[in-house]
Amino acid sequence: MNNSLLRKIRITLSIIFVIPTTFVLIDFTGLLPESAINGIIYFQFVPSLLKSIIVFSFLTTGFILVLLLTIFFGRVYCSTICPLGFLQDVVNYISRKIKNRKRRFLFKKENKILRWTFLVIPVIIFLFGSSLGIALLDPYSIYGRVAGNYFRPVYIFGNNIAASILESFKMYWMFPFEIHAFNLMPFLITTLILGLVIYMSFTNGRLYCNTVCPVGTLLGFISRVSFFRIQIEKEDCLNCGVCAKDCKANCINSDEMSVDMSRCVACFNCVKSCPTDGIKYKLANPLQFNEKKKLDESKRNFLIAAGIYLSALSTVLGQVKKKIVAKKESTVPIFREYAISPPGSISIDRFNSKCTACHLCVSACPTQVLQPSFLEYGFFGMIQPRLDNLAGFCNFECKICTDVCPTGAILPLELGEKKLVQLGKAKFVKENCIVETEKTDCGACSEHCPTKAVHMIPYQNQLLIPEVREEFCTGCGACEYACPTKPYKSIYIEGNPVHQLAKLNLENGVPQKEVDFKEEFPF
Amino acid sequence: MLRKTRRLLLNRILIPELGANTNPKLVGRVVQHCFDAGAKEVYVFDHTCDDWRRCYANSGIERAVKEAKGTMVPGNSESFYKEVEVKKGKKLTKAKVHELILDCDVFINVPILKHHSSTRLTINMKNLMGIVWDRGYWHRNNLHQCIADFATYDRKPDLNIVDAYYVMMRNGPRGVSKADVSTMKSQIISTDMVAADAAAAKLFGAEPDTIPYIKYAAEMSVGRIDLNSLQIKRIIL
Repeated sequence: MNNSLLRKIRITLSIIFVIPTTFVLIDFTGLLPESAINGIIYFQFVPSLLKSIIVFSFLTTGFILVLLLTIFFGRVYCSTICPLGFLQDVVNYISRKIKNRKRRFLFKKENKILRWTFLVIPVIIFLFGSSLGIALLDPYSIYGRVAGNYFRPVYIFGNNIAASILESFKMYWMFPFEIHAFNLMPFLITTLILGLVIYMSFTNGRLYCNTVCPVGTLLGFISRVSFFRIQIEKEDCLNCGVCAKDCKANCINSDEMSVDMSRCVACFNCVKSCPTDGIKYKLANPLQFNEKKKLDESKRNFLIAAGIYLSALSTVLGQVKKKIVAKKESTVPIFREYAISPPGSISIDRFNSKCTACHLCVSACPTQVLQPSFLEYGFFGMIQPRLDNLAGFCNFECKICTDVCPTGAILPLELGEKKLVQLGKAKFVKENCIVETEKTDCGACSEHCPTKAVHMIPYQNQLLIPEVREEFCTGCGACEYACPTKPYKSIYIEGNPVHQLAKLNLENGVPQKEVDFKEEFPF
Repeated sequence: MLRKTRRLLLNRILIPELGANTNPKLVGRVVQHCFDAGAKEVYVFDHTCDDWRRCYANSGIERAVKEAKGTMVPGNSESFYKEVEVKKGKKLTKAKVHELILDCDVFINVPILKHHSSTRLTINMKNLMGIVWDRGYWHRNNLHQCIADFATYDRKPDLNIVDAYYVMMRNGPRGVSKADVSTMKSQIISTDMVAADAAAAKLFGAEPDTIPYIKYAAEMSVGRIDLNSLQIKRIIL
């Protein structure tokens, strides 16, 4: 195949993948149906793998295709499908322009210990019931958070400017979107990780992919023996080292005429750069590799020790569940013992063990009730989404988070089922309530309640005051969101650590009769 | 001559038979009549409680309005709302009102009559909570008085059309099931919000002066609560 063509195909494919992936991660209009979103995220390795562990189906087979692709073609995933790979290539491109130097990489030895540590530790933490390690390192999830924290606000800002211009011409087909919440800590965590990734790619090309990324390590393990490999033609090679200097994966040893295929991300820059066509991407002799296969004893011991240490740490830290303080000015402060996890997550523990915090649900949620958490779930649920009833409330007719979740942390629900899932229970704080403090009617909570779990009962002087019937409550948080008292709400949702089933409200089941006024008007 | 006509509706959730929002057929017909009367543009919006896109779609109103060639306008963002003074207000002296209300030629209010858990009934004056931004202020500062206060605001609806075809008799304003709904097949049309609210209350089976905001509004001379003193055309089809 034409040498520069390979590179062009790679770049084209990566753009074809990154645009829709980014779009679903920043879209706030609900433009694409759930099936399209599922299709776009289908190839993302970690979500697909996790979902397969939970609910294997045709829709979750993306990771198998990626494995097959890798067996045949090497780590093409990293240069085409992976959105974080694309982001790093952009940083690389900028770095090249700034440094004004075209060839600037050097062959570096593989850091095996680090690579395997970054793969093994998240897996061990995962086995002990937390997906935090995976959430922090999975490239798709990192990209999801970067898109949500950085690209989405820019997109919304642009949209709002355009909408306001159109609005002045009385055109309303675009609409402004107000961001209801900003979560500082999750934002800082995202920024920190993004900063590290950018720094690594700015200075060392695909260092993240080849040393930190657990997907890179796993696929690299396979790509060492892939059918197609980058190969140096001994007869044509001049040992000039141009390919090595152009290799952002730092994996070409020009002196020894060898390519470390476990780190090669199949970008084909080397193929293009070689002056003598001495480096080619072609079918390899399956028996040929230039690597020692032994993993020496000390490294193995290190991994085991690190694993044990971390899993012990995880059990200890797992006990630390922080109490959330809802926003405060009425007199009685509100302490929530448990955060509220999304419908379909079944329980907080289960959710914490499956979610990689890609924030796809956060961007798909039409009411903005889903917000990244900090310590609301405790340390090991960090940056995973929770229901924040100060930002919005869970729409009774909506279940989009259950449809889009790529990892199975939020399982699909039928709308009828979803309407009976009890995420938490409403708790009424009478001392803060307007009816009690001001002696005037309010009832905003009951007004918003979709099941009338919060209803109004007679109070002094013909006033009405809310009463909660917990059995009908779904924990949607509409009451809490609508409650106008400041700074403390007068009604709030206490999360259910394990979701329960709400009762269908059949009270007053007697149907109303048809009224026929005939000739008799009541006025 | 109408140049532009705009209306508002209060549109909470779901299908017309649940009686939670104004019947889309009625809304569509009103839009049509506006065009027939020479309107250049007809805009429809509501500051909904629930997610506005779902409300517009699920209620069927978006489709009805589009079929009648009207324009659905979002009411979800504070940027649409401009601050106005409510000079005669006792509790509510300022409010942020949707810009369309402020510069339209004709403003038609098309509420549905339904039970309401805190204000007892939703009719015309209560429906105007759908054209303002900060409803929390109303709830905090004597809801009934605020509703009456806002009814004194200068830009009143030019016409009020109360949909009392399906009437939610309990569990309002959202309703729990069809069992909450009574079929009345009625409609009240008036230029006087208080009179229309009083008549609608009677349809519902409530005495108008037991609904505090209707009483307050009458006391503040927004309109007339005493139906006997009015000329009412009662039409039976």
